[in-house]
Amino acid sequence: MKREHTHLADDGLFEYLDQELSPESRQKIESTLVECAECQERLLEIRRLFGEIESLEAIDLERDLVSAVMARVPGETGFRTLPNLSASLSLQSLVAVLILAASLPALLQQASITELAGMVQDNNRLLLETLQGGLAAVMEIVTQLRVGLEAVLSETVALQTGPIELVLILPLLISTGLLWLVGNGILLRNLSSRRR
Amino acid sequence: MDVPSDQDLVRRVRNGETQAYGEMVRRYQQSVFNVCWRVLQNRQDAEDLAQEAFIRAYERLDRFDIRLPFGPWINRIAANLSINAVNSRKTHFAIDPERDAQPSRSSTHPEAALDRSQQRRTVLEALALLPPNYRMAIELRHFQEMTYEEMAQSTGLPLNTVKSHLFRGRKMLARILKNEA
Repeated sequence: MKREHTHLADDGLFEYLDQELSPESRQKIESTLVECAECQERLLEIRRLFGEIESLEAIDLERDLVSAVMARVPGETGFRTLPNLSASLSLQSLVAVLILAASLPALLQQASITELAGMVQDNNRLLLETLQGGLAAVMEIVTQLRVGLEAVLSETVALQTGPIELVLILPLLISTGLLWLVGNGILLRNLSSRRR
Repeated sequence: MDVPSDQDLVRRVRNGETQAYGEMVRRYQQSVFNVCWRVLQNRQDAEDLAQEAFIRAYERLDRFDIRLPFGPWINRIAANLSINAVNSRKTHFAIDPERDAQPSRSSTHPEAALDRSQQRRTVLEALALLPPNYRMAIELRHFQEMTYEEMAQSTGLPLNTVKSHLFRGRKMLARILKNEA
């Protein structure tokens, strides 16, 4: 005696042909198709419909779009900023590495690794809050960074001013350097992968 | 002289050689125009929108991943523009009465070409009768080969809505073609 079953709905067959079903749902549909000649016939009809749609030939364009498009694109310098951007990012990354390298010896003298980690974490939070505050705050950080960098590079100034000032400046420098490095690194990687 | 690849052309455009973009337009204008035409069903609108698609693509060329093929990328831009155009005009587009008057260039046997032309005319007329949203869904799925999820992202519609448009469009198309037969 034949087992009674419900015929497959068109929507299910659409999803089956579109390969949008989970493996389990796909398996169920295939089991029904094996058993039901009417469902098989319906699947063939839908396949024929898909074939008719997709066999539509292209129609010919009657006018050339090249001159119209080219009249609207910007001139020769449209994309020349990209190499400059890469160079600028590379330079910024190098500066960030130099900041970190220059800060390291002084930091090792001033703080244990645990203290340093705590300070960097605190300053990361502080820096992010400052950045959210607006352009004025960002400019202030840049100024501080410049002052700090000059002090570190001159090797003695910051160290001679005493541990309190150094403790304030160096974690900020490290935080900024790390953020800068990571941000620019991601940008550079994306740029180079797109352009390769 | 070797024909430059799409990748070469994109690199040249990015390096400031704007004229190389003209070759890109020459290569893809036919397919881009057809994407617009299938959705809009009007030659003039489709030509204007195809032109717009190339301008948009040029503006976004720095964001194009050069490892991927250019054709599907520009076709998707054209499809999205067509979708926006359809959505912005709530009424139906004017259907071009001469939309398939010309025979295909690839036809070599006149009788077979006539049959194919007739079949194509029938399907095109059926497509033209669909509501624009259904026609868009069919374009995105059958010609741009998007998944349901990608269709939802492109149109900004919920997943179930795009599925519904696609399924209803197919059913309506099947009914129209059955009545024509």
